[in-house]
Amino acid sequence: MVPVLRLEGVYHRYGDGPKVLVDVNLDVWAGRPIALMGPSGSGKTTLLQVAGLLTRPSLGTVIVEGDPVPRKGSRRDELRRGRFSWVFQTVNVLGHRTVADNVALPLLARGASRLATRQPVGEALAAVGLANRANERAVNLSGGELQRVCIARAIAAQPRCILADEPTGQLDRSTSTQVLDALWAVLDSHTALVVATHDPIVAARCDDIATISDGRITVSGA
Amino acid sequence: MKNWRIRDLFRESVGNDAGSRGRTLILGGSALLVVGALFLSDLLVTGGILDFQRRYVESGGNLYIASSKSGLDAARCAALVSLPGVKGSAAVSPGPRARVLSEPGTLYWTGIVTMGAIRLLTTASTIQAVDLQGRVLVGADAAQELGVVPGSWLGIEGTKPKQVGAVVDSEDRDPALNRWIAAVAAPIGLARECWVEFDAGVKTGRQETMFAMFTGPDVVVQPVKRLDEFSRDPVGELAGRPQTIAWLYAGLLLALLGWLSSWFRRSDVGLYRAVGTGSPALLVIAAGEFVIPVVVGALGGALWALAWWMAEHGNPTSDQLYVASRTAASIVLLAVTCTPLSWIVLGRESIAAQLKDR
Repeated sequence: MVPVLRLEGVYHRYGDGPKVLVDVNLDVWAGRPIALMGPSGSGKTTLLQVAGLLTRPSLGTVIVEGDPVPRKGSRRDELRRGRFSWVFQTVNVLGHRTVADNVALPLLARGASRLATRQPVGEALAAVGLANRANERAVNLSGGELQRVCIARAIAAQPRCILADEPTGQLDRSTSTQVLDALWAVLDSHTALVVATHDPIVAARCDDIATISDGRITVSGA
Repeated sequence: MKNWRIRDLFRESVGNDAGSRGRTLILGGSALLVVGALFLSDLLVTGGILDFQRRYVESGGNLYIASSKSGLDAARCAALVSLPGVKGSAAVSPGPRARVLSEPGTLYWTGIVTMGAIRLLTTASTIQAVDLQGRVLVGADAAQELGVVPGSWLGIEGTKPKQVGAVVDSEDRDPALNRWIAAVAAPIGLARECWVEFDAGVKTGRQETMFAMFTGPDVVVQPVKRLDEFSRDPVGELAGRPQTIAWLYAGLLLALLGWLSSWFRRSDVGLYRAVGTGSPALLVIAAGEFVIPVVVGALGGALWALAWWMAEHGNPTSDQLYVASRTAASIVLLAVTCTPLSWIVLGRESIAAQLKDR
C-alpha cells in the first residue's frame, strides 16, 4: 500500500527570497485526514500548492500514488492534477457562470458528460446547503456561500485527495460544521484530505496534525 | 484518465461568452466597428477606382488609331475585331468638310467608315446593328442642327442624297465627332485610319499588335486619349490603398483586446488548469470564447457597411465585394489566430500565481 501523496525532502523558495519550505517529508494516506497548522506566513499554502502540483518545488520530490512527478512539467501533470480537488483560500470561482457550472468543472475536465455531472453536482450542492442556488450566477453569492461552492466543487469530483486551504475561514460556526460534515462524508478508504487551518475544531477532526514553523514540518497524532 | 469532451469545450466557451456579456459585447462591438469601417472604406475606395475605370473606358481610354498616308487595308482592319482582347475595330477615312443642302453656309466634317465604327463612337448600347451600308451616320449635335432622325434623307453638296442610318452620340468619346457625317461603306480597299478598341484588361502590346497587322514605313499608332490626360493609376491605387496595411493594425487591435481580456481572467485560466485542463483544451475554450463574438461582430459590421453602400450607391460589383471581404477576412483571421495563443502563454505561468491574481 502506498500513500496517496508523498513529499520527500522538499525545499521551496520564491525567487531569491528565504526558504519557505525546508526539508519537508510528509505522507498523506487515504481515509486519514491531516490538519496543517502553523502561524500565518509559515508556509502552509505553499506546502499545499507544492503537494497539489500547482507549484514546482525548488528541490525534492512529490510522489502521487507511487508515481514520482518529474522535475520538468509534462502533459501527465494535468492528469495528475485532475486527481486532486482544491478548496482555495482565495475563493476561486468562475463568477460569471452558474453555481452548478462551477461545481461541474472538475468533472467536465475529466471527460464526464454534462448529463453525467448533474447527479454528483446536485448531491454536492445539497451537502453544503446550496441546492436551491444551483442556477444562480456565482457572482451573486456572498463570500461564505462561494466558499461552500468551492467545497461542493471539491467533493463532487470524488478526487483521490482534497487539498483545502482554510475552508471554514469565512464561515460561521453552524455553516462551518455543515461543510466540514460534507467534507468528511466523502472521506473513505480511497480519499485523502489535507486541510490547512487555524481552527482547533477542524484540527480535532483530523487523524494527524502537521505543524509547520519556519518552513519545517512536524507530524503528530491528533 | 480522460480530459474534456470536445463538445463540452465548445459549450464552455459559449457559456463563458453568455456569462461575461460585457466582455463579449466589447469584443463583438470592436469587431463590428473595426471590420465594418474597413469594409466600408474598401467599398468606397474600390468603388471610386472602378468608377474611374468605367469613365476611362467610356471616354475611349482603350481606343487606339493606326494611320498611314499611303493607306491601310480596310478588310484587315475590320478583321481585327476577331482577335482576342480586341473589343471593336473599324476602318475610317476622314473626308473634307462639306456643306449640307438643308443648312446652307454650315460646314460639317465628313468621312467614310465601316460598320464597326458605331461601336467605337459610342458606349451606348441602344443603337442596333441594322443594315447601314450606303447610309450615313450622323453625330448627335449635327442631327439636332439639321433636324434629322434615322430614316431622314440628307442632301450633301456634291453627292447624291443619302438616308440617315443612325444618329450617334459620341459625347463621351469625342465631342467633336458629334458634328460628323460619315458614310458607311464595306471594308474594301484602303482606309486612312484603323480604329481599334481593346478590352480593359489588355495592358501591353497594343501598339505592337497593330503595327504587326499593318506593314509600312509611315504607319503611326496613337491612343485617342493622350496618356497624360489620365493621371490616376487604378492598379497602383488599389495596391497602395491604406487598407492594405490597415487590416494588419485592425487585426492586431482586436488581438490586443483579446489578450487584455485574457490577462484580466488569469485566475479563471488558473482555475481551469488547477482542475486538470490541459493546454489544448484551454486553447479550444479560448478560441471559442474569442471567435464567436468577433466573427459575429465582424459579420455584423460587414453587413452594416454593405447595407449602407447599397442604400447609397446600389449593388456593389463582385470586384468590390472581393476586395472588401478579403480585407475583413484578413482582420478576423489574424485576430483569431493571435488571441488564443495568449492562453497558451498564460498556460505556462505558475498556476498558484494565477489563482492569487484576483
